[in-house]
Amino acid sequence: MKIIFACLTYFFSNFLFSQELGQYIDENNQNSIIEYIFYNRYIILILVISILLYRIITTSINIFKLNMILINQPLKKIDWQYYTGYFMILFLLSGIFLSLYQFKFYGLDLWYSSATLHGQYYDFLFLIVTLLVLIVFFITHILLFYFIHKYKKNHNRKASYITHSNKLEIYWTSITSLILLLTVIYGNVIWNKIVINNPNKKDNNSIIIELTGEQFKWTARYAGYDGVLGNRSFRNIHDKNILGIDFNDKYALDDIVTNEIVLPVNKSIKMLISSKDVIHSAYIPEFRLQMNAVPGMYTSFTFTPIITTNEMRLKKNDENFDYILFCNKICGASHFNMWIRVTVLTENNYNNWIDRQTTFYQTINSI
Amino acid sequence: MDRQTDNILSNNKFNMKILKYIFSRDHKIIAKQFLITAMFMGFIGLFISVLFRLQLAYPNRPFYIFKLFFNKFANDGYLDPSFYLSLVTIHGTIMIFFVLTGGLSGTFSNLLIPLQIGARDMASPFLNMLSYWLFLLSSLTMLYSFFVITGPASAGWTIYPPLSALPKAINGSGTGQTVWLISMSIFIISSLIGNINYITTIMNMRTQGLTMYRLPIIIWALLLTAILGLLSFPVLMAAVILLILDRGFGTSFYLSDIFLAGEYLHYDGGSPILFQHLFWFLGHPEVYIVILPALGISSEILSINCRKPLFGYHTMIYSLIAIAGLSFFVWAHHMFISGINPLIGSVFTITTLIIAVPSAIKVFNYIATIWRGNIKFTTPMLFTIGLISFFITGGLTGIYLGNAILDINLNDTYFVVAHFHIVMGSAAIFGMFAGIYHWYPKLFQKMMNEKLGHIHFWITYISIYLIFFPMHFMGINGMPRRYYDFNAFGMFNIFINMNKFITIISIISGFAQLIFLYNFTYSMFKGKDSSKNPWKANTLEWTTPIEHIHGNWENDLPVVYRWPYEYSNPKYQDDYMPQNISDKH
Repeated sequence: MKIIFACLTYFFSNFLFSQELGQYIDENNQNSIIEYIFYNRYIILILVISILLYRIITTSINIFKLNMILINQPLKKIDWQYYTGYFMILFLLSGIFLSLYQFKFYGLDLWYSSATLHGQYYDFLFLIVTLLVLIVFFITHILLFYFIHKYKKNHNRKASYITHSNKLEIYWTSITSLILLLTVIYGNVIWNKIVINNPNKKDNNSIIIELTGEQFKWTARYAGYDGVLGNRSFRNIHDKNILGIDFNDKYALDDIVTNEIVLPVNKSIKMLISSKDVIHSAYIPEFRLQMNAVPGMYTSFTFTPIITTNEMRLKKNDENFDYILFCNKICGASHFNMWIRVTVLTENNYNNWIDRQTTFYQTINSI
Repeated sequence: MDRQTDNILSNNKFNMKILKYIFSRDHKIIAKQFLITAMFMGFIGLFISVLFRLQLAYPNRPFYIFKLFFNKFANDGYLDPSFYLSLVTIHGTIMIFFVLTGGLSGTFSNLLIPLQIGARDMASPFLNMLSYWLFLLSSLTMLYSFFVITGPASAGWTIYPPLSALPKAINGSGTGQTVWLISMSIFIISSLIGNINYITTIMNMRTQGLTMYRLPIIIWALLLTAILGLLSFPVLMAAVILLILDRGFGTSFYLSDIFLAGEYLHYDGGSPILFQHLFWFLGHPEVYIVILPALGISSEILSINCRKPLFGYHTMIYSLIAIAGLSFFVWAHHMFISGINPLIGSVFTITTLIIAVPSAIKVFNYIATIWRGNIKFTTPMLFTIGLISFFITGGLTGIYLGNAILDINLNDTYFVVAHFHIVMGSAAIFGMFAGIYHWYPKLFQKMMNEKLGHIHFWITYISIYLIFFPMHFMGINGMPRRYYDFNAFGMFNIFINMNKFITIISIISGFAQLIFLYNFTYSMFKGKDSSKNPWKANTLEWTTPIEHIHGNWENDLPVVYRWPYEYSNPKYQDDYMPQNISDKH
């Protein structure tokens, strides 16, 4: 037992400190055995302390037992059944406290910080579902642990012989169904609003932006003055023409290709998302926007940003804040580093920005 | 029946101990083999998870342990990003398929089906043996992929093409992915053979008096699991074969319009979304394949340790059937934002939340079973309580993810990781622990140590909540899964300390599993001897002799007179009444 204990402590402390060990080796650019042992003094220290603690605890228990025998008191066996019931209640209370504390710690304000129009519907549904879920979560857990505590083993009592109750089953089935039905109906209404019957889909005022993912970066293409994206094909892709745009198409001539996304505030934007190689996923948490980028087809998402980057910086009290669109579908070794900055400007600033851009056709031919 | 009994008994010619374990067609031995293989794979999966947790907590620091184990993939102790993805992939695959599918339903189907329905062995002992050896072969094949030059498969356990189809897209999609596909094909064959056998046995070999409505819930759960596996695994097989064709034979089922590594590829006209449909048609029933046996085990143990009949036995059966049936109509909720028609999204929102109803009914029935019981806190009971708690917590977060609209912002974030690790991973593994502690006397004729079991339970239970509960909050704030490093852009800085905390807790809980391993092996040799019916249970497996014999029962097969949950009936003096004792005596 003691040996196992020592081994555990050794491995555990090794784990905990090994990253510092790595740093230490890194700094000194040497990893001789002597230095390793020198560093390991912490581990040895912990080892010695834990063995000592183990000795102290076992010895004191033995002394206690001997003492009890000396004063002729029979040793009471600890009734673990009894204590386990209380452990359960303790676990319940600390669990409730910790989960509520987490809500406080990570802040409900994050859930209200959506920066798009549809995000507000999203947040409302999220709030409703969260309230429902929390109520059910706490009620069921309190019932579970309270019953477990209350009906712990008692030799004087026999359990009640209750096999079933159809009435109860009908009650809880119908109540659960009703609650779920409400969330489904409300959820589907919003889903339709955002994705299916989006009013913005039909009107031609949406700004069209094409977003293309590839390993491991994003490229945006703006439709230019004519508001129509030119054709493209993956067979046209070469060194300069990174998106494979077909310049025989007259709509393609004024297209603008950028390495950042700039959006005007309060304008409907239709983002066409595609990929050159594997599946990616365009995700902006603050916008409540996510859509996969699939090679061979376009997916789309229509949204309206309502908070500019500058306003968000003030709101978050963070000078360096930027909206970031990052990849959220496993796509290769540098998946973790595939992102593009999204800047939301006021309409005037946006128009200034777009006027300053050169068309992709010019860019290619000027090189 | 007689001829079969003779057959089994005549297999007894192998008297050498090792040969006995290799050639045995006895279902009890095969159950042990499944269990020990699954435990071996489980510890590997656990170890891998601790390794990548280290990377997540301390992304910019080298670790000696990486260098020690994966020298080539961990230059100077820095983990290679694509190898990190391999670790994630293999962890997922091992845990889902080899531990929770093969291990859980393999072990307990083999052990419990013949014993609880009063049969001498499986319908086809040879197929049963074949099923185990194919399972072992596929496990070893999966581990072999660590030794190929380009490293194991690294496209996630969901192996979405094009990433998994193109070796140029990621290193692991070379030989490693081929090995993965071969291993999975063998696994599917093993699982199909096993499932056919389980279904046949339950349908045909129940002893006299054991009608379907007198079966223990666990047998119902295992039957439905087998049916689910039988109907859904072939679809994965089809998906795997098409992927193999795409990878090696130039077809384009899943691939189209791809420009990779400076050249455009010839693939034209395929759709990556087709693979997702095929994969999740297995993938969603698969999570029920994982959880149903665990729910069955917990129903059994709950009733025995509360000394009270299982509340709403029939409702429990119907809800199991409903879960199993509906699980075939919910797959697209994994694909709400994958580019499918949004209309499909609203349809699958409805079906997904319908399946929440039978799951909720099960939880309410569990709580009603505990109500006015007389609870004995044995280790299996503790793990069952843990399972119910996880099933509630994880099930409730399913309400978010099942709703298409809420899924937009939560898809593929840590919220999903938290959800399925709690509801499917932890709940099912707790079912497995409960089952092992409960049926250990049946497997090894010894009892496991209760005190160590309690310690194991509390450490594991608390640390699972500490690990996965904070992940919900990470996910709500948009933290994506399968990221090698969260410092590429400064969005997730608030979670740096939480990441370290989770890693430390996961190391502690990892070591707590050694307590279980110690308890398991120590009790096998030096544990307290078990009595014939140590838990005072009603079902038939406790009527067999303590020592294992071929054919399970010495003389005639038992006859069943009642349902299995006759606990604390005031009619009888004892608080239990085994199924095989007639009222007349």
